[in-house]
Amino acid sequence: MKNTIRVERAILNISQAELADRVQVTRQTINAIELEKYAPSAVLAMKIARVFEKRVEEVFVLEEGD
Amino acid sequence: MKNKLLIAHRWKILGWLLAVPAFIGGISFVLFNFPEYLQVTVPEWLAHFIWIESFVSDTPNPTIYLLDEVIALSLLIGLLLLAFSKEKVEDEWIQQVRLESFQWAFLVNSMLLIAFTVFTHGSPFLSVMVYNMFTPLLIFVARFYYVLYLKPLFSKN
Repeated sequence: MKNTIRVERAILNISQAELADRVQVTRQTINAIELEKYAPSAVLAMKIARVFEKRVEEVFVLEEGD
Repeated sequence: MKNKLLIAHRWKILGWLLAVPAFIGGISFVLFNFPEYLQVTVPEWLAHFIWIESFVSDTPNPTIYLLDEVIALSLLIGLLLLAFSKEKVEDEWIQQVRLESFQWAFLVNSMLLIAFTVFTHGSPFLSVMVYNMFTPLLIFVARFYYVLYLKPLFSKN
């Protein structure tokens, strides 16, 4: 699953740590998601999308083979 | 995702305080050729219960040395506290790393055990068994903290 978190963060001008704080996870978790090493749960994906005021599908995109 | 087997984060400090000195102590204990400290004479009535007669001697009041027990128990309890205490923020990715690290520890430990079973024969195998008391927890703790705190330092973006 691909995601646009890094771009969205740049638009809002917030750091990984700030985003982590807003969705109540660790900075490492945001880092793992950005590097696409970890696919978040539906709950966390929705919380992240809410911070960016986007729909989940706009932030997280399924890839071929998912 | 709630994990009922985990204990509070504050136990981690005690875990480090027990495990690190015990680990160093354990290595020193082997390097210094199993020094005999903390001598205790076991009363006769107790000797029947704690299964030492056949190993140590059949005298009524066997003498044992407790240093190795103290080191082994400190290491085991310390590593258990490190393995089963929550992180400050125990989120879903950390839960996944925790699970993966347990799988890792189980797999690596089994592979080591297979290798040592093939290549170690006779009494040295007893040493393998002694080390094997600690390797599952050691591998887990090493892998878990490596992924959580060291690996992100190498892949700075």
